[in-house]
Amino acid sequence: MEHYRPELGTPVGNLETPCLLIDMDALDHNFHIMSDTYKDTACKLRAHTKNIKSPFLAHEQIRLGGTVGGVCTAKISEAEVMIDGGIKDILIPNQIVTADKISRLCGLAKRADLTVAIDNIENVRLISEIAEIQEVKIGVVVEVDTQMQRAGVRTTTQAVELAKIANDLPGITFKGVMCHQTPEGMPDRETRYIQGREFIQTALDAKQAIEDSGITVEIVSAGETWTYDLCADIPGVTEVEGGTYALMSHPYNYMDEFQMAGVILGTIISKPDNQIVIGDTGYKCLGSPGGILPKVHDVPNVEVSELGPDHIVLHDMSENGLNIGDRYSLVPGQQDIMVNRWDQFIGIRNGLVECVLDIPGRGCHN
Amino acid sequence: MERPILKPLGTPTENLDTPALILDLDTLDNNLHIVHSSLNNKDVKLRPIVSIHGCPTLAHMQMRAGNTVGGIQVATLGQAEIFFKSGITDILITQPIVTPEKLNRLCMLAKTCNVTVTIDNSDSLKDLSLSASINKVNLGVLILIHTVMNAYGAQPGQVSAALAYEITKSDNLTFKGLIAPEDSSRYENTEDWQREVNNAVGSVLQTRNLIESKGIPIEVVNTGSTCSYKIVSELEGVTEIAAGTYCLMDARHSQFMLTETESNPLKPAVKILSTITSTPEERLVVFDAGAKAIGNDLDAPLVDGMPKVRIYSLSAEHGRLTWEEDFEPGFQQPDNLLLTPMDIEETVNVYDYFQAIRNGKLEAIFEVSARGKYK
Repeated sequence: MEHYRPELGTPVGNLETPCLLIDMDALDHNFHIMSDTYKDTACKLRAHTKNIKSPFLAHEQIRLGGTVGGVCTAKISEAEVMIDGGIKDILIPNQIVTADKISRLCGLAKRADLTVAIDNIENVRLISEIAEIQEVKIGVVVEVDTQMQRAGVRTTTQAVELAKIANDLPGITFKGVMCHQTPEGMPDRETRYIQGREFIQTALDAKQAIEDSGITVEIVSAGETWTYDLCADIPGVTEVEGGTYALMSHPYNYMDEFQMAGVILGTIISKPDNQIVIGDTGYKCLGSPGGILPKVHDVPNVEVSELGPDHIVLHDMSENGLNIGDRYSLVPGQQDIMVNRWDQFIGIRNGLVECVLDIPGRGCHN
Repeated sequence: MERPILKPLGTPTENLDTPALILDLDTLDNNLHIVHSSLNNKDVKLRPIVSIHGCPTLAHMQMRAGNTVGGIQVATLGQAEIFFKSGITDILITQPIVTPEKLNRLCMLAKTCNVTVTIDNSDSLKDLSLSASINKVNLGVLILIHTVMNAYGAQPGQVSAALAYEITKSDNLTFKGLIAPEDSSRYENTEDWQREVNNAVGSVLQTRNLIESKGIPIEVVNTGSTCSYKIVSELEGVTEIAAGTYCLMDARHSQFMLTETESNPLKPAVKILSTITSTPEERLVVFDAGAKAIGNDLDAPLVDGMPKVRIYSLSAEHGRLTWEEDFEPGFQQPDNLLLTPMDIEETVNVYDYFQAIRNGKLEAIFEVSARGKYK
């Protein structure tokens, strides 16, 4: 439990560090891009809350409009956090496979509409059995692998077969298909459009084949932050699972309409050399998946050179030089992995604390 | 907060909700015995680094295992506050404390807890002394020495000697000695590291002699690590071995043990229990523990007992396994996997609970109370 709770109105320079800040203007900007994009389109946003892990922020995006009125969560325990926070419609674009977890899913389905992704016949049969016993209906979408080689059916034939079985099972409502994809490197807009359309076409082909077999497809959940704009124009895509857009991280720089809203604030605690300074933000609070380093956000000509568990080594080539006690902020390499290591956001506007938001979804790996 | 389905005590390991941080108590006991008993009849004692696991229950087990200095070592002030509340009253905080807000908290803690802090420059020393004087507390101070083993600290030799003199002249501070932390994230190669450790500790001991030759007594020389505890405990002049990983171990530290020849080596006591959630292709399975539930800042974990199986991808929520062509594991959804973390400190830092097992059954749940105490 976090014992630190700065008073509202505290200047950012007086905060204890390390802390996880949200630039509220940047967050509003990012939220508005989404609500504006999907305002008048058939396709809507279903924000992925694995990135923000806060029901309050999920409600903010829903209130602004352009959404399906619900959210995605990565795990069943994360869904519970959102349901406890008042969200009524949840898609888990992931497989729930053990009897324990399926029971939990069915228990939660008494309080909210729940849809899960399936890619396996035995799995959907087990969900059906438990849903029947618990007298609930669980929505399912067939996960279609379009490029990632992760979960998901590999052929249209498999998709149709699974859809038919799901459609006939008691306790199950067949809803449609979902897919998730990731670009290579940092594509420009044209490349994004070409790649994104190509990947998503695989899911649309599966949808068509399922419909041709006489089954109604209500949901095609097919995009994410890097395809948010093109999905709005693809007929047949009904919803987009964006999540990264809210806080952003530096490898997504190529999506430059979004602003970096989530940063870690740190303090210089040692200066062993003129050009080497040590800060109090290590990899435990930042995360550096696969070794990817954070970037200094607010001080030009300062670079990250090394991360320890509880400290960072900065190569300081700035004009005035950072000194002990000075503050700096960092943009992470992957924002959801960073958020998962924190219990609270401190929302900042015009240099002052506007809000302190709990992160109840932290640690929801189950 | 982690929200697993917490099962009744006595539940077999394979029935626990996943991903779960599983601690095998017999392995833990053995690891504690190996390291603590190695210091029998020696002047040098162990100061357990508990920021590795953030768990007061484990810290107290380490204290009971004998041959400690009677206190612990943490990285941050926030961790010190948590362990103090669990009843530990001798705490060394290694991260330098420099801001007014934290100096205030430090002095409040020092009213009832025996706290030692580190210093590596004169300006921070003045702030520390002023805070201690205003709050009418006394703080023990170690000089943080820069060596190849860590990224920061004062230079050994004359610079540190001058700082030692200054500490002895500062109000409300007691000069205790020297600390040279060994940062294991810098390890690359065992042989090189052994040479580096010998050189680095040598320069710390020379600094000790230099300071003592000026008539300033030194009570504490704190250095070493899980990987080097054996060689460092043989070096005369070192008073405390600072080590933490040894009790839980992980794949990375196992590779870097500097004297790993004995028949009873330290073994990983913590595993991630995970479930296979998808088997979409012939040679591919997807499991439910991704980078969020394991951490791969330093590297991906190993699959327990299956050297021919390897994790080739960890995305945020999923891991993916593949295996060598001459191997047929027969994985099916929803089989369990046990994964050995690469870096235990990073992995524990995303959990709120250790699910402690003995002989394959859940025996207790230990809380990671100091998780996320970065401040």
